[in-house]
Amino acid sequence: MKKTFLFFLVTSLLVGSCSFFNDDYQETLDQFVSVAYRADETDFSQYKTYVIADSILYVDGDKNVRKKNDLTNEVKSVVADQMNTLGYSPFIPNDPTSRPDLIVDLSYIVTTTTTIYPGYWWGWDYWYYYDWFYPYYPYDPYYPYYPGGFYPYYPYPMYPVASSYSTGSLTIDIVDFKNYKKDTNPAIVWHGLVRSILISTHSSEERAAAIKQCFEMMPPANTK
Amino acid sequence: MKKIYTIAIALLVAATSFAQSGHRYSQVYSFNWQSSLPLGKPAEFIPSMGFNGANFNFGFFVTDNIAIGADFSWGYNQQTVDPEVYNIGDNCAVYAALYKTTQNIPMKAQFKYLFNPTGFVKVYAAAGLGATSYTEYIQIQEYQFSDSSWGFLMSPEVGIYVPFGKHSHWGANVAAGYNWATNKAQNLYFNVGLFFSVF
Repeated sequence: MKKTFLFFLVTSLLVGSCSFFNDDYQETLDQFVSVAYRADETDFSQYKTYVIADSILYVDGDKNVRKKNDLTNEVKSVVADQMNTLGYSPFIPNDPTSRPDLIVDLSYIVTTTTTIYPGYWWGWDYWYYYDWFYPYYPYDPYYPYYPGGFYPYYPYPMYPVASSYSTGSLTIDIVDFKNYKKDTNPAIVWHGLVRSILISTHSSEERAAAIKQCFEMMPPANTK
Repeated sequence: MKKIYTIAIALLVAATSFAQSGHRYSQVYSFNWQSSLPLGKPAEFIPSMGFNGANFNFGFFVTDNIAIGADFSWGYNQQTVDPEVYNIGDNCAVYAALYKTTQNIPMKAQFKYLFNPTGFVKVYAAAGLGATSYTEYIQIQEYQFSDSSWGFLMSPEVGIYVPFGKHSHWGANVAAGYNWATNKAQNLYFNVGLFFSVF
C-alpha cells in the first residue's frame, strides 16, 4: 500500500512537470499582443501616397469574406490616422496611369484552430479572382485586376511567435505598389499584427491603442 | 518569514522543556506545504518567494538517532511582467506582457539525525542527495516557451517534530532547508505540515 501511494505520488509529480499553464492563463489569452515587421532594406522615403481597403477580409475557418461594418470602419479609421501621422497622404486618383505607392490591407481572423503563418493561406488571390472588388477602389476602371495574379510576399523572416495567428487577430499589411511590376510579386514592406484585439470586450480605445502600438514600435517609415 | 523563525525558535525552546519524555520513532512520514525563496539564477527570473508547493518525506530509523529515507517536493512560483516592447532581430518588434512560471521538483535520498530521540519535541538535522528538475516557463497567450534542466541536488535541512500529545502518532513538522543543485534550481525552502510516526 505504501509502495502504491509512493508510486502515484512520484508519477503525478513527473507527469505534472511535462506542461504547466500559468494560473492567469485566461488573462494572458485576453491580453493584446502587438507585433510589427518592417522590411530592412526598404527606403520608405520613396512612398508618398497610400490607399486602404474599404473593407476587412474576415477569415472564418475556410471562408474568406470581405465585410464592411462599424467595426471595420473603426479599425480602418485608426490605421488611416496612423498612416497620415507618419506623413503619408491618401491617394486620390487623377488619371488612369497614376497609382498609389502603398496599399494597406486589413484582415480579421475570426476563428482558426490551427497555427497559421502569413503568406500561405488567406489567398491574396482574392485580388485575382474577385476583381469586381478591388480592395481599395471597388469597380474602379483605372485598376483592373492583373491577369497574372497578385501575390505579395514578406521580404523578411517571420518568427513563429510573432507571426502565427489566433482567433480575434487583426493583421495589417502594407504592400509596395510603387515598385510593382506585372507578373511579379510585390513586397509587403510592413506587417502589423494585433493578437486578441477583436475578442472579448475590449473597448474601441483599447483597440486603437493596440493598433497604434504596432505603428509606434516599428513605424513603416524611415526612422533608422 | 519572520513568523516562521519565531515559530521555529518557540518550538526549539519547547523541545528543551519536554526533553526525555517522548517515544522513540521507528518510522516517520510527513506531508508538508512548502514555500520557497529562489536564489541565484532562478531569482533573476522570478525574484519573489513562492508559496505554491508540497512535500512528502519519510524515514526509517536504523538507530534511535539516525533515519534513512527519501524526500519529494514539488513547487511553482509565478510572476507577471507588465507589457513592454521586445525587439526580435532588426525588423520585428513585439509588445506583450510575460507570464512567468518556475517549477521545481526535487527528489532526494535523505539521511536524518535526531538530536533527542526520546524528547517530546524532536529536533533533527538532515542531508539529502538526489536530483532535481527545474523548468522556467514564459507564457504569451497560448504560446509557452520553456527551459528545462535536471541537476544533481544536495540539501541540508533542519527541522522539528512536535507531536499533538504525549502518545500521539500524529504531530506537526516544521523544517527549513537549502537546495543546492548543479542546474539552476537553487532555493531556500520552508516546510510546514503534519507527520505520522510509528513507535
